[in-house]
Amino acid sequence: MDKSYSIITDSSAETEEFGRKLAQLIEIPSLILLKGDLGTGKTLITKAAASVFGYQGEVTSPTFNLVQEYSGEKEIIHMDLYRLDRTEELLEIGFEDYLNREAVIFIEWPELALPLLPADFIFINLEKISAEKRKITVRGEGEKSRLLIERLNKEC
Amino acid sequence: MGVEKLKYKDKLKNKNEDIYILALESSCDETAAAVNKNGLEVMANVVSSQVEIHKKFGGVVPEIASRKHLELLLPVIDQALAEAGIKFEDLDAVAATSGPGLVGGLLVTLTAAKTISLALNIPLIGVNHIAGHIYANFIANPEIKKPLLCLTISGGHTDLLYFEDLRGYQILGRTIDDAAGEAFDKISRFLGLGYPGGPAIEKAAQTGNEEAIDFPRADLGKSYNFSFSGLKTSVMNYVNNEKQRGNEINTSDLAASFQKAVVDSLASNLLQAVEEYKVESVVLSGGVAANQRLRSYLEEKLEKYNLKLYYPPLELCTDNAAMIGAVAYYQYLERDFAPLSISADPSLKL
Amino acid sequence: MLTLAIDSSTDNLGLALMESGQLRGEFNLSLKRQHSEKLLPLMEEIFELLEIEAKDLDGAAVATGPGSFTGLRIGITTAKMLGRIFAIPVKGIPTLEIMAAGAAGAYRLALLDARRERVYYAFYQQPEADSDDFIKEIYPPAAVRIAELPEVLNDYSQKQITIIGEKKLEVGKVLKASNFSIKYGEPESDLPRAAVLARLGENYLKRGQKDDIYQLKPAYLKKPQAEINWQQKYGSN
Repeated sequence: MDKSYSIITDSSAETEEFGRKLAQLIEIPSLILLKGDLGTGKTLITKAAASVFGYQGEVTSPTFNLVQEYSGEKEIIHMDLYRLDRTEELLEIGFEDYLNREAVIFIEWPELALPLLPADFIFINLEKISAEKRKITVRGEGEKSRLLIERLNKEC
Repeated sequence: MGVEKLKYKDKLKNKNEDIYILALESSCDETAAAVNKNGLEVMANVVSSQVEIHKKFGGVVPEIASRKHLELLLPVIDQALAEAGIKFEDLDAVAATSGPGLVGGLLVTLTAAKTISLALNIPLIGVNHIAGHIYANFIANPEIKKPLLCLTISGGHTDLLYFEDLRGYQILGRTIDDAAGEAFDKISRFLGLGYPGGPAIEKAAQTGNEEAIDFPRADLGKSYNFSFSGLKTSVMNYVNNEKQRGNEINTSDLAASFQKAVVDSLASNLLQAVEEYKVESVVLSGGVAANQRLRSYLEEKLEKYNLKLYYPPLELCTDNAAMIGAVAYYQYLERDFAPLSISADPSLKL
Repeated sequence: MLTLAIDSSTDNLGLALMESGQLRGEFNLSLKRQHSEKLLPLMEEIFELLEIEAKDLDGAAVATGPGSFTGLRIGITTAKMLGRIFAIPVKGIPTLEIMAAGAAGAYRLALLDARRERVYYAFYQQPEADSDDFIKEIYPPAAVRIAELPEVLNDYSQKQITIIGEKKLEVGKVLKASNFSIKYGEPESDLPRAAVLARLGENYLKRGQKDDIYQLKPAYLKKPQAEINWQQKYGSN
């Protein structure tokens, strides 16, 4: 059985707190997939994590132009694949180039990326329990995600 | 950098001589090249648009845009030189947009301009894209009287500027959150009207009643600053509330009311500045300047001050390189040249 | 014949001038993400130091990657423009070929870090002893998970392979564990040397092998081979 970490957050403030904790515990570069329905907190977590990396500017869901880059102390790349239909389109938008960066990459609606991913990523599933309540599950592949899950389990 | 050290210092011309500039632009989704003579005289203005390619994604995808710029670079330059009927050797300077915009795209024409500068030993001029949009007006309407007020409104900017003459300007106010064009794009996407948002909203608004819904106008007191974030939220809240109540939404009325709220916010600051500064003309620039409702409303309001409203013709409203060449000419006269080490600045301010 | 070599594909910014088989000068500078600021000033400097003018050039060679797309476009744009302004031929050459051509050994595995436990690799064979041919490409540039390299190179497990480039020790360890016979290249062959690019460029151009500057573009890598598809494990709820 794969290792995982789960937490129930009772408010968006707590979901944000999870995002900050995540950012403090991951190693760079990191690839973080965020799966969850509309309004479950994918962008919120990205924003909270970005603030830990020293980016204080606006973080919005890049559904609009697929990719946004934020530069704080660390390079942050924020993708949203909602508008894509085919995995091949990911190559056209330079997915390979982004993977090859010393950056923290957040991907919302990551399903289409699954065939292209290296064996080294963190997968976060967000489920809506009630209006404010979320169940957050962290899984993943590779050494980095194993370490992260270990740290999350130890800390919380 | 000091002009005296420049290798090309002996070749520099003065205002009374003819000056030919090749200008390049690739800050967003148009690859463009132009040849300008003495600034405002456009000898060639070639624009290759990628809008169709990005439409599907609902916005400009940086990597796709960069790839396209590289592909189109030589063809647009060739065409511009051919239309102008001049050769590389005839150029007095080369200019490129250095920001704001998407870095990957900007670097294509900026690098090309640097190479031309080094290869031909002519000055390199880095131009602010937003300044370009303003100068598009002066190309189209050389008779514009100074001093003037300029409202520059696009997907990235909402600035109110005061120009004593064409060599410099003062910033009176800017947006504290979303740009006006950004608000159009976001609401258009939210309403499922498509991309780009400005024309989409305007089209939907044509058959709507702009008094139907009373959206709030940001009040920032005495400042000339703008804010559109609150308006955006209230449109979204309105739609969500109506949906929850099971009411059908009249998209035309909604688009018209939203558009009017944006127009009112822009107009109120501009008119306030007209009262305070004694100007001879008022100028619009940027993608949102194409909005007919904004133009007609401002024209009506400016009538009482006996002021004419200027805006660039449609072909100069979209991104183009002729406007970059126009700004570059004034920078050339000021000997405001860029070193070969200049980099693209994605968030370059005016 | 004066050939300018331009390489901005990796962290190494390379510039070199080769004149009919004689190396006139070379820059190889490890600069992270400053290629846009540094390339043209360095070019101006190398021209000045060697008392050469851009219009003296007879050809240009440029690295086409793999590498950072933005970095690649900077070098390729420069080469295109020089080709267009002076009507000189331009040849694009894969970065991994430059690396392999600068190393020794019968079989050469050139590597660049693709991060996240992957590398870009290409595999080459030395030409016949007395021929002046180019090295022969056995496997073209592609991205691969390091763990999968033994399988990819399986047909050559009995040959001695010289490994050069980024991650060479890590890859060497993995290959050794699969009983490959390997040798490590010298440190100076771990980066694409501008002088080697200039040499290759001049040789290609002498043979009339040039690229259409209107079509020249970076080697945007295709779908990485042999990756695992995680669809089943993560795709549904």
